[in-house]
Amino acid sequence: MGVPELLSGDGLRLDGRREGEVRRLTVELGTVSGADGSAYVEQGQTRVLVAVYGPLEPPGGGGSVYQSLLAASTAAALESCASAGRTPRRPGRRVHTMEIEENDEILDEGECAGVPEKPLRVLPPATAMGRVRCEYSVASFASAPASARAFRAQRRRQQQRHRAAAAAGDVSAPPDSTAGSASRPSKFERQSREAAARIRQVFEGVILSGGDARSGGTSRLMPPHAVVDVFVQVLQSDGGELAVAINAASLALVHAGVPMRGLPVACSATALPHQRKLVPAVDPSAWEMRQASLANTAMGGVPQVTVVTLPSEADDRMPLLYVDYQAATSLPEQPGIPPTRATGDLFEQVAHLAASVGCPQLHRVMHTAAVAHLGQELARREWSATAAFIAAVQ
Amino acid sequence: MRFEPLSLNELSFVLSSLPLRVDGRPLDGCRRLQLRHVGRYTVLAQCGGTQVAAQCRSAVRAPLPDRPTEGALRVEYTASPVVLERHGAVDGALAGRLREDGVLLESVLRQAPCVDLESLCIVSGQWVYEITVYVTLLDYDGNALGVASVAAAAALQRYARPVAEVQRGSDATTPPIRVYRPEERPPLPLTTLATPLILTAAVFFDDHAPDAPTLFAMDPLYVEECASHSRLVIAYDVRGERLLAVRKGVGAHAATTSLAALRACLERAIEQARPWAAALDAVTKPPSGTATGLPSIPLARVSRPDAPQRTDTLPTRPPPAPASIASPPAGVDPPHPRSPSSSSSSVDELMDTVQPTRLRGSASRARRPR
Repeated sequence: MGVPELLSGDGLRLDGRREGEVRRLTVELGTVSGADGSAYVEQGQTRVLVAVYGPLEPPGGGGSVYQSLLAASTAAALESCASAGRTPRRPGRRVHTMEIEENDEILDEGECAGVPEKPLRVLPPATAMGRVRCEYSVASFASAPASARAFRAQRRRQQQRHRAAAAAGDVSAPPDSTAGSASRPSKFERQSREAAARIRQVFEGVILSGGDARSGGTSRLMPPHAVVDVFVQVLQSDGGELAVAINAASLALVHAGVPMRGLPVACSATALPHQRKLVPAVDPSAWEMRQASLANTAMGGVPQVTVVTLPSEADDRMPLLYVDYQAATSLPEQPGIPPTRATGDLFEQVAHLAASVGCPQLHRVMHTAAVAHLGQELARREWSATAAFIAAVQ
Repeated sequence: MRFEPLSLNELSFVLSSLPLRVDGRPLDGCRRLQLRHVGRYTVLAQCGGTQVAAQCRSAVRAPLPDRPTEGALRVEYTASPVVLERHGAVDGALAGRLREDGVLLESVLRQAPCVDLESLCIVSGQWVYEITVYVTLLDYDGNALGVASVAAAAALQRYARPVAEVQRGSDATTPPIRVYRPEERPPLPLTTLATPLILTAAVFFDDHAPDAPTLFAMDPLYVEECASHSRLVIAYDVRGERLLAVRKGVGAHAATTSLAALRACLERAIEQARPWAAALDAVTKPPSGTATGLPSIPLARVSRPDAPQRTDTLPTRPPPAPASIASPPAGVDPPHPRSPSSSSSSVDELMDTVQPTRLRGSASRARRPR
């Protein structure tokens, strides 16, 4: 039995898509009624539900604004230069005054001078660095039977280990601990944590926290000490879970009314082997990925990329916000090692397909859904603005 | 030691002097890398103010049930308490960033693949080697991940794992194995398939003019990293000339870039990786003739033709191979258990001191200059 042809003679994949077509996207906002914002996204057979709670008071109590700024700035990551600007460790400094002074400066310059002459300015980032918490979990029924079997086997191994530890007299190991061993978490836990870290990284930079002039006065809704919780639940995984989760999270944040710089749209892509060469294809399903890596084990698997873009309303550019490209995993056995140009070319082709071909299709559906939701909200709250708004949008 | 956070003046100096860099390098220029072996086990990588030490260790354990023929490779990436205190006081997320960098380093080394995991198998399904690379950040001045990856790759290339042998003749289902110490049997080097390097660039973009090109500063300093808007990480295999992974973070300013700029940066970064790859190759070539990591043991002297005559007077010495047989390979012949495995002169001295009484003839032969 030969390897199934992933691309037919007409260039159709096995589910009838072309290589530049994403799977059918279904979006539903407001699925979880108890959450501040929620979204349920189905992209092909991948189903992800995201619930967002926020902006909230931080769990340690509100405290003073100084305390929250201290907490916020110490939790800021490498890229934040505002922690240097705010310098919370000097107790003599009045942080509020410093902020207000800076705001006045920026407003004056912005109004009078237009584009400032120094192109790159050190501005405190109006982002929620360190104030977005994400939890990512994959339901145990979510994936194909093979990985469900592996998951159950891993659970069985954990229980055996705990039983052996208990028999040996070590009662300190809790029986319900999800960690396989004391220091090394299980593979599934590690993957969940990595996915949660990536989603958090993307939205920390995108959510506006207010407090500087460019955020347009959103500080009332999202004060600098507020925290946003994002809970991602993958109900069915069929490839591209991270991209679908990011799309669902952006829609859930729109539903919650959390201010963002834009609507981040994520798309995944890979390159399928077809007649001895690799053809870039967007939004692969899990089956396609598995068949492609099996077929291509001699060449070393297939590359995968997940790209998050921030589409701007003004033009059709798709600036890349987050790129995660992973090339083929094993060493190619061909004696003629392809030169560096080839591997850079493959990265560019696959990333270009994801960003400029896949993302606009997804963005169209997501944008329409978000705007329709906003229209409904307005219709519920303000009768007079409804007709004008809907006329403007359509 | 108090360490103040960087002031706005310093950060805006970095930003306003772009595309020039603070230390005068071009945008694509990397600092000079000094890579050397310290002692018997450690590789020390120094690049400007960033210093990383890497050591390897092996353990023997049972393999994973779904991969019975593969060994394991682990990376423990930590920072010394001085670095944690100095930089962590200001930058509260340093520990989290180190953890993420450790995960990235481990996945790059595993997927390169740096070490052939199948060669680490002793008994399929029962005993495999687990190689752990301990990478410690000793001093931090930007680009810790890049220097750490060079140190880890050099440590893996130079490391030699102890030899393990299955003890036959037992009825247990799990045959016991015996792991020989390096003094008993010289260790074997690992089979390295690829040499992955991680290159880091700091991304600067202009929020006010989105059409302005994004600037990528390779091998950033600490000030540049603090002032940057996000970070680009490129994993590249220098031996096979393959691109392994590209990761561009989001950063505090939601730095966006275009694909063309990213691609151009990739090309330039790969060019700049060559001096680092050359430094890696120059250092990890083991000295010819000896087992890696061990000082030279004068095994050649044991198999000399006049040696059997001398050893008749040394009852404690194990008998060497007779002169008719060619000198045995270095791996089989165990050295003298009393020799401290240091230079040849001390072995001769030891042999002389052990034998106070010697025949005249052999004494003259013993005293013959070698």
